[in-house]
Amino acid sequence: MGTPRHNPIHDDMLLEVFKHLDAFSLARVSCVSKQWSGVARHEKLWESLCILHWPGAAAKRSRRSSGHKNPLGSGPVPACSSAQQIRAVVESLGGFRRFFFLHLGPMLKRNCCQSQPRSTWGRDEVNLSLSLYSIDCFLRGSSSNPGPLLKRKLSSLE
Amino acid sequence: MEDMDMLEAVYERKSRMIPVGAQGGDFQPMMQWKEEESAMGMDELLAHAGYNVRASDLTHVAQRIEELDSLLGAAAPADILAQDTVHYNPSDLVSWIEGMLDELVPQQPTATSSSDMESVVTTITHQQQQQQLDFGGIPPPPPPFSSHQQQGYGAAFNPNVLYADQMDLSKNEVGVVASHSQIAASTTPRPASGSSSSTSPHGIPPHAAGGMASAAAMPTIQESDELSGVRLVHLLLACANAVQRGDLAAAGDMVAQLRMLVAHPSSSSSAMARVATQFVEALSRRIQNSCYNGGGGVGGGGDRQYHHHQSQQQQQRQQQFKEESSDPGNTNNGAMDEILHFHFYETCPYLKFAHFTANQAILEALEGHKSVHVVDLDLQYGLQWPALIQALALRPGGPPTLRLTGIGPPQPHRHDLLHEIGLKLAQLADSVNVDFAFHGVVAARLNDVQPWMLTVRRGEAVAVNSVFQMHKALVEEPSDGGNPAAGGNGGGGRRSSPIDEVLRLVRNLKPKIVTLVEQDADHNSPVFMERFMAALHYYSTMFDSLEACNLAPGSVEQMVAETYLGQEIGNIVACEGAARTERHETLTQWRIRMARSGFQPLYLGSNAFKQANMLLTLFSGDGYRVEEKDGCLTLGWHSRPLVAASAWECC
Repeated sequence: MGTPRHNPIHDDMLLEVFKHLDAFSLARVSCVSKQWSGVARHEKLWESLCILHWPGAAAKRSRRSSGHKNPLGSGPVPACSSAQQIRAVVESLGGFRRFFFLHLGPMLKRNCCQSQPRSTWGRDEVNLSLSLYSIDCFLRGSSSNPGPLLKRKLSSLE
Repeated sequence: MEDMDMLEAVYERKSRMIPVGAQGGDFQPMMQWKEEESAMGMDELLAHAGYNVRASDLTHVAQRIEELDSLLGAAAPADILAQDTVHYNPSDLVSWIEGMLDELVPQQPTATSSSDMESVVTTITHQQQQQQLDFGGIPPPPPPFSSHQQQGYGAAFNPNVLYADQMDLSKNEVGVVASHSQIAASTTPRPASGSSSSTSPHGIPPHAAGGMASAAAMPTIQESDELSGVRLVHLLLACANAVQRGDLAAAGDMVAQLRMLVAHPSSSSSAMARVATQFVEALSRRIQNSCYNGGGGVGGGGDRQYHHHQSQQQQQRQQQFKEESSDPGNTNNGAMDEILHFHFYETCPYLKFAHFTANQAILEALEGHKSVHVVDLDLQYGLQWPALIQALALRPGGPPTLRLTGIGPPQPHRHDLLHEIGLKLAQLADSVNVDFAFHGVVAARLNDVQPWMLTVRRGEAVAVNSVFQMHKALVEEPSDGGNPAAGGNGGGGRRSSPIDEVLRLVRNLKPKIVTLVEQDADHNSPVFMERFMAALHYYSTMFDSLEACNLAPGSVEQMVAETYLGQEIGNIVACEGAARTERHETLTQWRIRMARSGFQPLYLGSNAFKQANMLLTLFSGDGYRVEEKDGCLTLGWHSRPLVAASAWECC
């Protein structure tokens, strides 16, 4: 509120500055003013914050290894989903900002208190938090317009 | 003197407190006092006089005023007048009095002051540490135990009394609802109590004889709690025995005794008492049904939920809650079930563990297949599937086409629950770009499902999922009187038992994986006593584990979780024949059964194990254990496994 009205800070400038903030500072600055709150909500900011914490999942793009039979889950390291896939899923489930506040933030806090104070995650934590996010989205109910895919399905539902 | 006026005002205020539901004690519970106060907790009457005192402090203040009075009387006037200190703000009585007393007796040791203390501040949270125990003429309530303390029957006790140091009272967070509990008169009186228990005319408890908390007295309290827990269990078993023998009159008497025992305030907050409440109601229901039906079974009408009444001693809220759920004409039955289910899902890790472990196994088994069909033998509210849809969406190489067939019972009022859930799942799948189709199958019993209903197409990879459902097929037909474990081998009758039909149906689908999550307990013995004892042990452990779920005692969440489990208990104890659908069997028994039906085990991998542990860290407190047993994962409370998840494939 201290900036004179004839010389406001531009949104792009704020965005550039906010890019350097960590999650909790970002949350704090969004309480300053309407303009700051609007800029702090920008999905890109939150996306990069999320990705910061899971470099493994976003960076890797290894080829899928050959299929494995018994026992489940203990064969060679399976491939990771690509960053695009994750971004698409998170965006459709409700966005990165919401994802961070609901799942990532609390998990990070908990990790800090745990014995292993690491700030980066493994694939497992990412998958688990995404699953929890999807359940949350399911419970909230989808409010977006159904796409053409769904319209076709609706007619075939019993 | 001003002090005397003050004292009288306080005494008069307290004497006007109306005792509510006196339990035979001299001490009035704080809760009743509080109901007369303003929301701030300040005493209104004294506030009119200009003094701000919290209602919970009244006893303490009165007593301090007496002290001050005696000290002032004893002290020479010159001493008082010679003080330079100014005592500000007498309207804040508590600190003013403390200030005055400090002034007069600056070196007053803590021990002496606490010896006069008799006021009680109680708290319900586990975290408050016990500061001092003072044993007055009244036998004190049980001291706070750590939530992990294991008693003989797995009962944990909530700390429901905290004796606070007088000095600290004014600093304590006193706005907490307080409840008072007393040891039953019949329990062992403590050796440390020496003073008489006479009351002053104004209802203030007598001053204590003295002494700080002593470790020697603690075991006695523990013993009396244990005694009441042990007594509960003995009485329960005796009652069940009477029921089994057919001695309904004796059983009825014991039920009445039990109801009194569990309603007694000293034990009513322990986990043992809460689980006993459920068993008592189930027993009384069984007795009633035996009386009406002449010893026959209880027909459930195909309704897979068991509803039972609560006794009057229950809290009012709980009674209302239960009445709603037990009213057969209640249109909110479906809503009630939904609430129970969702709450249980949120608060306890069992359902989450079941869903996530099964999903992980399905994911790994269906890796590489382009067309995937999942058959869920009990869709419930579909909470398992969003996570699978999301995981498939993130599959490297893109998601497969997913078809989900959900089986569910017919709903009251022709409510098409399956359709609703399918729609929501479809919306979710659409938003994450997974090609999804849902198909609902309504069937009252699993063995009514025919293969054509499941519309399995060629080339699909099929996964069958059964979470807490398969045991319901263990209901033997009324004409077969045999042991369910031996059924289906041609000796029991011409018809094969329902479970064999179901397993045959599953096998004929040629699934890549069958996930089976069941309670790990033997609640299916035809001998009632065995069933009763096994169920008592199992559900006591479960109720104990609820303690670690961060549920505030007496809260709605705890009540809901207990009601959810209470339905299972009711079904196991009170129902017979076709109505008894909760026929849990142990993991070992299921292994034998699955092997006999043509399945071989699929080992759940380390990913599932890691995920289960992560879930526990996220959602629940200490005490839960995930263990791996020959490829199956079990979730249990300390050393007792409660839920077992396993995976199977066709031989």
